Amino acid sequence: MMMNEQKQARSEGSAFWLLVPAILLLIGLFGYPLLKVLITSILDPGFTLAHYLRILDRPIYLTVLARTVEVSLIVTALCFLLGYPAAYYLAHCPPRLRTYLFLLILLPMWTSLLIRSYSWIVVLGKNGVINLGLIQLGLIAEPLQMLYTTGTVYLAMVQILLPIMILTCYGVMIKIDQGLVRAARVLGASAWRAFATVYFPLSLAGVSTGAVIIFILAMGFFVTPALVGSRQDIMLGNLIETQINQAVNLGFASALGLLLLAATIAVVMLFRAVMRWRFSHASV
Amino acid sequence: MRKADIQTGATVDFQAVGRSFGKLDVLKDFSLAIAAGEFLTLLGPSGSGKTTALNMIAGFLQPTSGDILIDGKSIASLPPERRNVGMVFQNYSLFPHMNVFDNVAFPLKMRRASAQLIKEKVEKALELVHLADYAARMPTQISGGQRQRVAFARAIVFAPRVLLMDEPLGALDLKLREHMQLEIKRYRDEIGCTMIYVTHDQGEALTLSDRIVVMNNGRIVQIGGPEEIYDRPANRFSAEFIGENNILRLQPNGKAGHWVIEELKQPFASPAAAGPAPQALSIRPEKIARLKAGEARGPGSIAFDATIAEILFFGDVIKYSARLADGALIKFKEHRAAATSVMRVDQSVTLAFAPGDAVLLADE
Repeated sequence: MMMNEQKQARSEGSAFWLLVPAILLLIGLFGYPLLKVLITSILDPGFTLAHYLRILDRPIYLTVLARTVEVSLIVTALCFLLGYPAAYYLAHCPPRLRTYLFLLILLPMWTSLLIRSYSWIVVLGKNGVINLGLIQLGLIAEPLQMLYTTGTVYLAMVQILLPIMILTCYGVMIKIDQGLVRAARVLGASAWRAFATVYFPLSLAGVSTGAVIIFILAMGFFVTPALVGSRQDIMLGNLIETQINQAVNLGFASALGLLLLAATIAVVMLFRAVMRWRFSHASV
Repeated sequence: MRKADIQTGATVDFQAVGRSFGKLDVLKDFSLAIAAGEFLTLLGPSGSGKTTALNMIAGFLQPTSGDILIDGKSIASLPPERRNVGMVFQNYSLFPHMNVFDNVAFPLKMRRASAQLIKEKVEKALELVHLADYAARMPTQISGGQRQRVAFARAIVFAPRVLLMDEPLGALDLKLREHMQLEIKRYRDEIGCTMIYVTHDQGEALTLSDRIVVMNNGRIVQIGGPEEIYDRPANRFSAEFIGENNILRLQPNGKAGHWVIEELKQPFASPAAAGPAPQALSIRPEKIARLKAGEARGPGSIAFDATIAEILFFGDVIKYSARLADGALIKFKEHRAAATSVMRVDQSVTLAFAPGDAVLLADE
């Protein structure tokens, strides 16, 4: 036994070294810059909390933060509503068809985010494909205002983030034992109740992974809202970008960045706490 | 759980049921009347259609032809949840996100039973399977045998009148399997429902069943009690599939009821049987006796010389494989109490069996 434990401890010890490159990379490219951001936000040039006080001083920053959280939550919810059924279909369709559908889902992910955001201008703009088509058909006289609206921001963000929800949900769904659903059916559950009491709870792991990733990414969006949204649709990311590129106030940009990070962490932790509570109270 | 708590079993009737997947017929003209309260086993190799038949009772599959009746009423139009049958699966199929209590409570919750009734019934069911102390455990925190007992409790907690079991012991190791066979026998004595059991393990079928339906290629090969199936296989498939057996070819000898056993080059006579002309006979290894030196063979018995080719030592029993003059192998076994000593390979022996112990077989 002793021999075995020692052997096991040693193999765990040696396996740990496999993590070292990743850890060094994280410390160098993530930990250090983050520390730098923190320092920049409180040293300008001496110790000061002025940047943080400025955030509280004017309502614009917290208003934009609230809208950023709101937009991110709505985008996450839309991705769930659209992505969950799609993932379900993928997990249960004939394998041959699945290969092609996956290609269709992954293809946009290989395209740059910038290009995908710009292409909405081509599609939805005043002289865009849709407006020209509708005018040619005689359905409308004047072009519709579709670009630079809040709806378009949602549309563009969901289009970019949706594949993540589909992939994480699919990854979990494909592993759900169909025998469990059949067991539920023969034990008295209708198709709907079998889904609600067995399939859905078992697929929640994929939903929550996808939701967390999408929410985090959405919180950091700034290119898309800037390109396709109206002036009211700016997100915290846009304000940070302005502080860096136009105001060149790195201290304040750093403070806003940390605010965004703190808000993201807070919402994700709240979400996980809710999920954990839901699981520990899992009941039919 | 007392018998009074549970309704008696229902009859299940297959009426000329057929099922095909594309061009493949997995079940052909399957007719079978299962009595109320009977323990019936569908026994056959994989692909014989036994699981298909079970899945059609559960409602996972629809027959492509024919009809299935429970208690005389067609269940064709009922979805699985309205057939009121219990089912135990090979891989347990316990819900991994629910603890033992919630798993067993599931069928009752689906039937909207009161919390009080649920608690009562689940506790009784867990008592029946000796897992009363495990209600709060998650399925991952109990052993394979315990999981299958939970699955069993879950399948009977709502007092179904028919209980389906799809190779329920297939995932367990040998020791546990034997123990669970005894457990299932006990359950069936305590609950009165009709039990339909699917297995490819002939030992399980012989141990548990009132009746066995031997299946092959989507057809019923033989129906009978365990003794009948073992002692009087109806055809070559039954003879080879159930238990160990020796199959010896018969050549007609001109006269009705007379043959030559090809491998032994000895005549064999039997009152001409009705039905298709037999082409072989089967003789169980335990029906073949070794004649000790100088021992006279019994009157009318068929004796022949062979050489020991293989020895399998089981402790209580020794199984031998012996080579006949024409190179064919014949199996026989001896209980150690009767055997004077274990033989060695290449030893010459004289073996004999009584013609009455042989069963005539038509090819099928």
